[in-house]
Amino acid sequence: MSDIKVVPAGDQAVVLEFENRIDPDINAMVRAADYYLNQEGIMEGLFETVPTYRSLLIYYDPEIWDLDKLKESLLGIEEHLQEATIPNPETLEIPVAYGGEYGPDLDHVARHNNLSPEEVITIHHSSTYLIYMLGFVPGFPYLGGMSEAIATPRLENPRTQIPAGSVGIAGNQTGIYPLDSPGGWQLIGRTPLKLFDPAKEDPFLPKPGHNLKFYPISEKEFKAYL
Amino acid sequence: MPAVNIIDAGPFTTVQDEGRYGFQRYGMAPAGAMDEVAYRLGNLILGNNQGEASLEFTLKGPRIKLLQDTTLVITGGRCAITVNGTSGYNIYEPLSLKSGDEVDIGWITEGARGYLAFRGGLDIPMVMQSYSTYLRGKIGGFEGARLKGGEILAISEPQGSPGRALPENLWPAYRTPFETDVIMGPQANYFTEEGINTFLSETYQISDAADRMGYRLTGPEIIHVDKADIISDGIPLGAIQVPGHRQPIILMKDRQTTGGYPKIATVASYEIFRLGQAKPGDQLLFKKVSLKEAKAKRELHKKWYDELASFILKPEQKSKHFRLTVNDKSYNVSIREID
Repeated sequence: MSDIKVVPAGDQAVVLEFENRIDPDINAMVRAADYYLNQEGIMEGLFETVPTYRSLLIYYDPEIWDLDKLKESLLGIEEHLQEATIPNPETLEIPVAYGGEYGPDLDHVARHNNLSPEEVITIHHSSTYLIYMLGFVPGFPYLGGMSEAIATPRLENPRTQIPAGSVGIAGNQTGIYPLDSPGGWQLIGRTPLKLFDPAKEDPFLPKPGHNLKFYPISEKEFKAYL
Repeated sequence: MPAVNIIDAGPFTTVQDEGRYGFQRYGMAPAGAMDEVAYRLGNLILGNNQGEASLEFTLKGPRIKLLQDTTLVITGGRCAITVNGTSGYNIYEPLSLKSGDEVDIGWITEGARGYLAFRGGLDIPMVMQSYSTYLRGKIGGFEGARLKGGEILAISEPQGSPGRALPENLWPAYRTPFETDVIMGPQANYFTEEGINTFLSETYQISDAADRMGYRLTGPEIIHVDKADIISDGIPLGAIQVPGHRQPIILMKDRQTTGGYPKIATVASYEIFRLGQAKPGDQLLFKKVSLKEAKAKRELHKKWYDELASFILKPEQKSKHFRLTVNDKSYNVSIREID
């Protein structure tokens, strides 16, 4: 954990950078730093943090911090991270109705990988995925850990409208569309859960640095959620 | 209690406030007024609490009909204002109007965005602690969308009393070319020395692809050392990213919160409001500043704003009237403080 850097990003933000790779262990350090810094009373004058794959963007109050002081404090958190109690990541469970009208590309993904649709479903929901970060649109999780056995290139012609909750594959990534939006992912199923619901007190289901698991449900169970 | 009818929304009008903070970690852009200074001055002039919801219009203002008596103000880009077909009304001037009055806000002749604020603020639901419309997330403002015309918006009860109008010599100016201070980085090391020199010495033009998310610029190519990809990280306000096509993009209030292109520089915080007044065709020049210089300029910016605010809040020169009796003779006397 020697390779941490503080890089200015304008006059009111810095990036706390860890090693330059996509790796669950490095992402765990990002989550630890994020958790630590957002605890009450640790560092005043920090506005907002944005954890990503291997770095943490930190918006700060420039009335309170200058870069040198901030750098010193941030580089000093390394030692605190070892003594601090960082809660274990939680696992978010996402029910998915695979195939049929909810997953119009399931058969294509199966054919592309010389598998049966059932095998694709089993492989897809057997992995535990790491939510490396959220971005792109509100509530969209960047997931790591999909099996190469079901990797499939994007559609050549993206769809103009994909319903919220659609679960798809693009290359060696899987993801969930939190909002109705256009897109080119191969759709293999849909979840009845709302990943983003602004009316809720806690509007976002996925949390950066936590885990996610899919489990299959029937069309009937899907409809019972609505 | 209906209050204002939007007859014609204009080309692009949304409800905005100071923005929605604390959710970038979940992929949610802060949104908020592109020109925070003009937005804040609107509320200040009307005696509103800061943070009340206003309309942000782009290039041209809306045409509205009042359904109740109210005071309103238009701030930001310079534009012609007519009330019931009569011209001669000014921006930064509180206008006390009657139910039935029609206000038409014309094309902006300097700047790109204006703010229409009502005394009391627009009465709309708050979503995740903000009134701001975030179009991509389809939330906030009026049903998460831009105004299309035909809407009827309610206005909240007035809070304070209107302050003074700003005279024309105090209106914020938005002259082109926009000379914009930047702090280099966070990924300036992804560019060649020549690429950085190009960026800092050439003129860039805002293309037609310019909206609340960001502005795509066109100009001389900015050369990368090698790759034009990074492992996606957070995008601060005002970040200038340069993808493989070598043309810069400035990320503004509705920006995506994360991205995978290297960011050559970041616009200084005190320049954002003025950049919020840029439009397609405007020219930009970038000037590198140190964090120390940025601090000094940020303080000057704050001082300038505070002076405008104290002008607005300073009470009108009210006269005090006395009746004096001297040697049994009565005099009416008025006393007024001299500036």
